[in-house]
Amino acid sequence: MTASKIAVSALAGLLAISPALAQEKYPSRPIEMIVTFGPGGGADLMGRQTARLAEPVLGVAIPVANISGASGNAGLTRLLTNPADGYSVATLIALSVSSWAAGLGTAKPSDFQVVAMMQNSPSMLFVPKNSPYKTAREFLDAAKANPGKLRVATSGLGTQDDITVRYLASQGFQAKNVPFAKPAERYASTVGGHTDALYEEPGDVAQFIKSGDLRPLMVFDAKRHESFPDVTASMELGLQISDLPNFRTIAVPAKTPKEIVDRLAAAMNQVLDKPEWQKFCRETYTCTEKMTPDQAQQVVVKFHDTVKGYLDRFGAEQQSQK
Amino acid sequence: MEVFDLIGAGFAGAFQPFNFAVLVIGLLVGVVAGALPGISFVNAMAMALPFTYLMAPTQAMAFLGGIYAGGVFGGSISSILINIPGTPASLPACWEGYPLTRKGQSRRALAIAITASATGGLVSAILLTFAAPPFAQFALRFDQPEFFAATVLGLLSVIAIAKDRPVISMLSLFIGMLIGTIGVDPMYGLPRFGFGVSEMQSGINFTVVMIGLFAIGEVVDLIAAKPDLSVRREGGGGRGLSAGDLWRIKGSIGRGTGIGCMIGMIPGAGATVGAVIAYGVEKQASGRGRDFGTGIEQGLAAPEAAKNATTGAALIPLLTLGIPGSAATAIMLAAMMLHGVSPGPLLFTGSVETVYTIFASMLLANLLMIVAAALVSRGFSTLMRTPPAILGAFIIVLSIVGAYGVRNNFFDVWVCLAFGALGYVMKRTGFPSAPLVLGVILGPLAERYFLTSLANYDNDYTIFVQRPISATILGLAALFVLWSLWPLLRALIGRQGKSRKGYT
Amino acid sequence: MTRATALLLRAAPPALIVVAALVLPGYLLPNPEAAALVGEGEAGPTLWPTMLLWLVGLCAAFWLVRVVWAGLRAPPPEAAPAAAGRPVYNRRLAWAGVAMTFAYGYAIEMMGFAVATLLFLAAWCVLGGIRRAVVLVPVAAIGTVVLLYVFVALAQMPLDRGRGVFTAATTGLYQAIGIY
Repeated sequence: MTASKIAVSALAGLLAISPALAQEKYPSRPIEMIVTFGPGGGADLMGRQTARLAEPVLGVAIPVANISGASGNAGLTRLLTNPADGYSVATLIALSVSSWAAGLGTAKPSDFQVVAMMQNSPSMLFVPKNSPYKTAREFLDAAKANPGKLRVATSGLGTQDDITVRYLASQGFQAKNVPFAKPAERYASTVGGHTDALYEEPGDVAQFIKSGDLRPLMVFDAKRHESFPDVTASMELGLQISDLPNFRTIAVPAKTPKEIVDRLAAAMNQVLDKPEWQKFCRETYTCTEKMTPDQAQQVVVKFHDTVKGYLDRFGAEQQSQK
Repeated sequence: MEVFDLIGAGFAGAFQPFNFAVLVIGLLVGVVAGALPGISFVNAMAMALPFTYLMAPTQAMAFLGGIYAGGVFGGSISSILINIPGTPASLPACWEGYPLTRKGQSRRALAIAITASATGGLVSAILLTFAAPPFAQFALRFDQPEFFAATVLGLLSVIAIAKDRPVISMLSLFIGMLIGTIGVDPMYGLPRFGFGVSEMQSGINFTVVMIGLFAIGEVVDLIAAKPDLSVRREGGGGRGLSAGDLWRIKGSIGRGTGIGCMIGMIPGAGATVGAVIAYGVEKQASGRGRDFGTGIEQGLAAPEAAKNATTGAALIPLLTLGIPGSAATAIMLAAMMLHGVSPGPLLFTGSVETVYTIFASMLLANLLMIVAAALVSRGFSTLMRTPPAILGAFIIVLSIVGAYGVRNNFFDVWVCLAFGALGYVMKRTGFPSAPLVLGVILGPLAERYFLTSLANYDNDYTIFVQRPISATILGLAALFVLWSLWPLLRALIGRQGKSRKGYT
Repeated sequence: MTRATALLLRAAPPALIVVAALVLPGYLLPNPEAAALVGEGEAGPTLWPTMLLWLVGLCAAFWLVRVVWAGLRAPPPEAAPAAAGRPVYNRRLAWAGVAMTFAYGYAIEMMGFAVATLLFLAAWCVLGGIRRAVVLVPVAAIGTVVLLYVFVALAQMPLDRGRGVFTAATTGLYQAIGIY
């Protein structure tokens, strides 16, 4: 009976307590970390590591809520409908931003204030262990010799994966885009040799790289990746497709007060400095330089415009062909 | 024998007090969560994930493995006792288990379910321990056309299950598959049937549909009918299970286990698909197909064995290749990655002891499950004495929490409530609801595999019969349909013959 | 109930499904330009739903024909024995229950999970015929607190805290019972 009495009296006295709460200093209660994808993926790992390491820094619990669906837009919608009081933060990653450019959802970069850039990594092209192609050059030559014969496993059409495949085609290296909605099925298809190549960021397939089941051929970047000094950069082959990085950020609604954004940004910077985070980002090849909220916001805005630019260009080409 | 040394070391690891305690707690949490209507084992594993931060990787895996094995079984407790599947995989347990309860044999039904589940789980854990790497290599040879063929087999077994009125059952299945197409498509990301509602882009989740149709629909019916629940406990739940009884259903358990081990390795399919196919096959193979739906023990044992046999099998691609095939194994992957351990081929060369401790924990989990399941079953049987109104109120709260917890999205709660109202209407009018749920589960899988197959093989529609494994599965599926439709066809021919005789 | 109305009632569900199968293709994609994305001769996002709409329509049409055929040939055989089989069945109570589940969903969004659940547990028991306060109050109060401990404190689910005044009320309740 005591528990019920407490509950009843608590309910009765609630309105009396509540005004006092508003005066307290931030953060005074748990901060909800909205992970915009399901458990087990790259965004989930980033969100959970961030939450775990930021808890002691901020001094409150940071429970993780996976709100998945519609390329991350379901969780981002939830962030925007929650009060902009700093008690909800969300993972905002490149895939979601490119989905806005492709016309999914109603969100735009200016709806959000990015707090910190947590991870960033270029994408790479992988082939299975026993693939006949040893170098990027060989792969591209084969694509040129047999247009549309080589099959590249990607995450879908209209994504940065698709943009890269279409860009290669526009340069005369035509390969077929085979979209897989589930990452696990995508990796299995290339490891099992059912597709000829895989477009992915290295961190998500780290175990296959280390075991040798996947061989990196090319990194889509201006320069070689420091963890893969032997892997050709796309720029070396004259391919101008180094502007589609896979970034993962933590964001809050744009209306959030500046003090709260700064408090969160300071905490995130402390997280990035922790040796545990350093180990995590090295293992996933995603270490990035620290940025201020405004710099990070700029990266997101620029990425959105770049993707939109590519898609408009391809759309116009498709129209003219018809 | 090096393998046995490793297993011995694994068991030594699994029996360390803390590891062992974590495993037992996981099992109990899993069985209880599975048995609660609305809360599925995937919910429970996601909720348990933060607790694994504090554990070593092997302990995290033992904990989650315990919830997984226990939860996949637990759903059947509420299926058998109150006709509400605790998890989607326990749907077939309603069809034969609940009729047994109505006959006053709930204890016997639970004993069969526990034994079959534990056997299936144990066999697949043994398979995992001794044959994981070769099986993983075998599984890698499967591509999208093979997955599609297996899904077709699942869809066809739904039709084969239809007792009478096959057209209405097919309609229900197709409506379910149509509901499954709502949301963005798997290739272009185009929203379908959005009706301008942005939440529709995320699609309709099958767990949410199942909770609505079965849990909420059933509880609403319960409050209006006011049945005397104590009737179901007449005669103390019937007699137990003897060794002789077990021997009689060994074939069903064996078939179910085999099907579960195969289906478990297919990414995306999992326990529900395994259980449904096993039920469909059993209906044909047991020789008692005509009586299915009235509480046939074989029809309970086979899907129970199959769904737990998928647990060990699903861990094979996860541990050997680092490829999670289902939501449950993705959560296990997350737990390992958070500790900086990546599953995959390197796990077997690097930290062999970790791997064998996980193996031993899975073996142990399936043995201990018998005790945990029996305990929790007894507790739930007692809970059934609660007045139906109070029981119903809590089932609805749990259903809504469970529907919400699938994606932490409130839109899902509205979907669940809408399907609750629909489920009530379907129940009153006798429109079959199980094919609809299975359609929502299997439809999106079939579409995804179908479209990816075509994209990967130059839009060649004959690819499904060109590839030997996929052609074999499709051939089996065709045989299966003929086999299950044979009595119907014969009856049709027979009736025509008779009526012709009547006229002449 | 005359034979004609009985037949009409039985024919309504399949007829509605047939109509839906004919109307829904228009709502498949949000705009016509979306369809242009798909390459020629490729199996695209519309293939599967279109096929299913056809199958649903055909099955429902078959059902409709059978219902009409059977209805014209003989009067519907059931109705009378079905009612006799179930002595007490209160259909109105069931629909009240359905309405109450929707009200609960709305209440969670407005008042937050804690307050809404407390009210719902009590209301459902009243609907089910439990009127004694000695049972009602403890069941609702203890039940809510246990549910809060399991799902908010232990499982850390982001359950709604309600709008406006209820946000503060829920936060206060959580602090009072030691969750925050």
